[in-house]
Amino acid sequence: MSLVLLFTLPGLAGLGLWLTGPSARASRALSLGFGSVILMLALRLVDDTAEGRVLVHAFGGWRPPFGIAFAADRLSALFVALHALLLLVTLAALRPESHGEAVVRRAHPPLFMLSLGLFGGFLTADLFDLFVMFELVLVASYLLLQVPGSRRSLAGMLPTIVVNLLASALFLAGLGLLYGIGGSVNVADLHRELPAAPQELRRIALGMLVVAFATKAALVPLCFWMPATYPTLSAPLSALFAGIMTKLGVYALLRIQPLIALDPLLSQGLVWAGGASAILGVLAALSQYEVRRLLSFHSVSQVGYMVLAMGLASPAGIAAATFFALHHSLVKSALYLVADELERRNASRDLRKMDFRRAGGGALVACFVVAGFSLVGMPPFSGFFGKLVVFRAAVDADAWAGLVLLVVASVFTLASMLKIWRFAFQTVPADSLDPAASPGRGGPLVAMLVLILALGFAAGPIQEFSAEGAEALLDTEVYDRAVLSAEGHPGPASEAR
Amino acid sequence: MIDGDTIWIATAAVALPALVGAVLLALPRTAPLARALGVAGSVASLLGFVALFADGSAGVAVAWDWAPELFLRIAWRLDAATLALGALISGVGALVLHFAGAYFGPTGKGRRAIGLLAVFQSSMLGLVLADELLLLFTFWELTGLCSFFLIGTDSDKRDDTFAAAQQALVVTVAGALPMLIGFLVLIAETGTGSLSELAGRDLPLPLQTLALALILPGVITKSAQAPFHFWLPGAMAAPTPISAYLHSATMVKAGLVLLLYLFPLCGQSPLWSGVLIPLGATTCVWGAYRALGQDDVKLLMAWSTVSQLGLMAITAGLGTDLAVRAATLYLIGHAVFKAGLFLGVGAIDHAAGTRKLSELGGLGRRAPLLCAVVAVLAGSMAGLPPFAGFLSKELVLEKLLLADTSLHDIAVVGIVLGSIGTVAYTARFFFDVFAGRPRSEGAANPRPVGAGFIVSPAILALLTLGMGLGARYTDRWLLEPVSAALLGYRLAVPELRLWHGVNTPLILSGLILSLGFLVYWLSERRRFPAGPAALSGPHLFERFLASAQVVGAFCNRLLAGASPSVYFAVLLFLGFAPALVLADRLAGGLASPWDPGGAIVLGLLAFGLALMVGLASKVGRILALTAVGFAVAMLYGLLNAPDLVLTQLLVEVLTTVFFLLAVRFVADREPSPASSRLLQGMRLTFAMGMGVAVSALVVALHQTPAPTRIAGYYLEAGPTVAKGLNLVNLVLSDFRGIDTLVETLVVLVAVLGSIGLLLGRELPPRRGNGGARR
Repeated sequence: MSLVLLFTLPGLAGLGLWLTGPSARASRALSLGFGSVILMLALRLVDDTAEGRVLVHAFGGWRPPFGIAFAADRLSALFVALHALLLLVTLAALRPESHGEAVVRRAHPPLFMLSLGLFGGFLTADLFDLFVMFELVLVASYLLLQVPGSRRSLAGMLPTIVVNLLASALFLAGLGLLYGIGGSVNVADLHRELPAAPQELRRIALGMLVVAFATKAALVPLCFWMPATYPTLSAPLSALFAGIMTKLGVYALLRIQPLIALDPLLSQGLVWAGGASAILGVLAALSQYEVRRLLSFHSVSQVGYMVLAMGLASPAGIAAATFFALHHSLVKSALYLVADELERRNASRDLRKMDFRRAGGGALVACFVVAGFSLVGMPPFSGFFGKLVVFRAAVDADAWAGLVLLVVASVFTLASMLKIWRFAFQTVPADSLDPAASPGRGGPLVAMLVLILALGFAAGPIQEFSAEGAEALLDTEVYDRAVLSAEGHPGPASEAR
Repeated sequence: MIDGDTIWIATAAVALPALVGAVLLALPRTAPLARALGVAGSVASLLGFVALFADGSAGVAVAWDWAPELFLRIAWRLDAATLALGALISGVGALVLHFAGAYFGPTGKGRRAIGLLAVFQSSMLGLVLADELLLLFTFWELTGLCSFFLIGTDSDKRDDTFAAAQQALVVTVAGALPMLIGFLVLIAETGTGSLSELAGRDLPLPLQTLALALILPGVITKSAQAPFHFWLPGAMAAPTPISAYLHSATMVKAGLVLLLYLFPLCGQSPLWSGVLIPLGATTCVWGAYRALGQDDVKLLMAWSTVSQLGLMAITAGLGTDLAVRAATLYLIGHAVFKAGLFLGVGAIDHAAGTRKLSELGGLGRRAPLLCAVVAVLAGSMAGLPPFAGFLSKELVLEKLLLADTSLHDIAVVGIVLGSIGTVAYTARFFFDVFAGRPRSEGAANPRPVGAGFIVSPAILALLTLGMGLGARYTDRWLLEPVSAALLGYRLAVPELRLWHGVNTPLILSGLILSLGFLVYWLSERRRFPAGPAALSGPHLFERFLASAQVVGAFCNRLLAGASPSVYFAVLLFLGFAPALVLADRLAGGLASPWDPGGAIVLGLLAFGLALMVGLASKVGRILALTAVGFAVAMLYGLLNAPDLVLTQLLVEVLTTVFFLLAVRFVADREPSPASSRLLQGMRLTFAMGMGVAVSALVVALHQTPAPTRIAGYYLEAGPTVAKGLNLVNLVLSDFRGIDTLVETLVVLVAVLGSIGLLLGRELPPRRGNGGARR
């Protein structure tokens, strides 16, 4: 039931807000209400799946693979909860007082439609349905990209839209091919059918999917659109985008890992693409002087860590990628919020024009220190655990070349974070550390700060959760059984399995 | 052995300073209380360790199972060694914080520095007491982070302090990352990350060597061994109390402490001596040489620290249990006298207003108490009897003469040269500061040195004196239990004495002393140039970062700088190029019988495409595209799909209308002559290649048997279960209804969004192609 609610609630909220068009304040209050309920549903989903149960809802009463089903396992639940969390923080950060009434009112409905698409994407067990969700996410994000309404934002996104459409087309082509050789677009069904499919065509079809998802995840060499897009977004929205949008691609790659594992060549490709992303992305970030552009190149680099880990094709690697994705979403969102504050206070995007005396405000400094050094992978923050699990998976898999790349990338990550620190924060005069400097605005910052610290604090249980989720993902047995025996019309007797 | 109280006391002793620090950092109003609170926290922590030490606590105190799956528990390894180090850190910490109170005064800067120092203290305590390798790593990085913020404390010299702080952090973190991997290798191979459990294991030699090879970079960078020593003199940009605590007494010893911990584990590897002795000897000699050339006494002390860290590395590198004992004594003794000397330098700076040897002089008569205190500490550093420094140096020399390794000669040369240098620069430091005539106004009329400046170094001086005079008790109460804990067994060696008759070490000591004085008498500071600046560590480091920026700018252009169409091509290439391997299947596809209707459609398609590529005007190209769409519709007609034909025609007509409406806004731009023939050729080749790939794919797919399970079920269940005869409708509205719903939402969102866009008057004011192109 909660699966359907996660689907309908954002839709209701989005359409309702659109059609009624309440004032900015009312819209904000309603959105926060919906956001909280959605978060509660998402957290319940995590709780429900914690023991390894797979919740399934078959739409229209047609049992998969003949109909479409939503299925929530631990992996899905984690990503759903992650987005629900970020959504609520974004809604709270979008304030009429600081961003303008028009922006707030126009951002809310597409935000909920975006969430609908994301939840659908994280939950669906059907790859064609995933494609449809991609479309919804794309069109909603297209609207969000326009929210600030400046010329720059309209101009910056055309290549983004085109490349996403191309990636979708490629996804669709690969899916058609998969259907041709496997006879199904249902993930669980494909788990059973694809091993017997002709190897050459299977490799090409899965390769198309991987390229399409890698584009969504902004992996080298298909990352060009991201640094161009995110800096144009209104700040809290870019925090959400940076946190979650690339993760849909990462999630999709994770979801098809059992299929990719059929072909070691593809896994190997992921390792190399991930390593290249990790190192090239961070080097590019190091050369930037615009905070948000620097940060978006960082995302390229960090997605590389995740993809490298999942390319190891071991449960430890999958678990590492999952944990790293969680950590990275929170940290990157927090850093975008910090970047927004910095840009506003300095009235400039350029680091070189920033003045450390305007960075006052304990919450801002604390949030940057925690989020920034977490991104670097400094203990005891969440990033350390992210790095730790990735390194461990690589050590277990004897992936020494990958390790070398990651170590070098980590050093440059540190250097680039120090670059921000140097220009924007270095030696805050002790006496200007006044927590009351910017009332209200610190709220979401503090919330992110707490979330990051909590992720470090609870690293053990969360890592365990993702490790069990990874085992189950690669094993596929439980998921497949749950999906393929969902309540619904049983299908032809001859095909009952 | 370990009961609840012990766990509680140990945890409190580690965490208390950090709590105090957090309070100080969070509450600006605590500035006047900073010193009192800081010292109270450190003293309480010291008392805790002393109590546990006196109690003889030993074992593992698990405070919290943080993430046991990740081999990360908050667990303290309690034994004589860790507790003694803990007491040392807390004790020196209390004295440094007391000094810092006087140094900074009750200012905001002081509150911040003392707060951070207290947090650092807890990190350092955690480092030496951690039982889990990964917990040790956590604290290891925390100390580096604290050091980064502490070096940057001085807000008057932003850029200098930043460069120094960045160097220190980047170098140590870069070294720590391989170390983390080394820890993970140890954990992966042994299944445990607990130091106390590992100590009992007998690791195979290849594993020892692999782990050591990965861990040593961390040790070498943290403990400032050549060629990574350069960050340590740079870190002197920090205020003096911070240098005293972090960069001489505690943090820079972390690498050596880890070595001592790992000795039972990895000590048999040939890498142990093979790396530590040559690097240590280089560090020891180079550090002493550079110290001789310094004018700034603080930098002199910094290079002296580098040199003595090298000496400890050599001693540990000898790789025998006796050498470990000697290194331990030297490590503790050095922490005491060097912290005292740094604080003494702070006091000199405060009194005379300068730290330059060329401006000081004659302070002996003008500040006699300070002179006496510094004399004791300096005597200890030079290795004069009866101070602790003498004891430890004797012990090192003795072990050196006993040791028998292939690298023995390097070790001897390194230590002897380093020690001669030590005597020489100590003499220079002491006599140039306190003897002779004052060479500046400040030195002639020094400010009075208050109690706040003198108490801490005086206590440290008394300590070094006491440790030397009471050599027997130092051994019995401190050195023996500590080395037994480190090694895991008791050493059967004669007790430490101040006077053990005339023997080789004593003669060697005398020789070193006389030679050192000789060097001091005969040479001037100018005789010790630093070497070419282009080869200096900081310079190379900055060059490295700068070139990374250049490479980064290139990566920026590579990843996001080209025209979007290049990346579109990359995307298509990556997606479809693998299908080229199927090109040989095309022949099979072409060989199948031709259908005349299909041939006509194909001809139409080709004609349309040729027009589209060839026509110059935009409208003409759009109409050609429509023709291609109509040809596709005909193809559907040939395949008996009238509904698809209708859909296709509708879509084509609408798109054409929209296109023609929109093209009005786009300026007609001629294809620039710059898009040369070569580029055209490349585009053509690319397009043909993709065409071949996709065709091959389609042919290959048609050659594989198509699974008909789902289609079969739809045909079967359509009329009976779904009660419908039009299968397409059924799939869209029933079997896969949710897809259709979401697609409807997509359209709805697009429509609503467009309305919002239009009503919001958000259209770009200038209707050119500039917006769309860039």
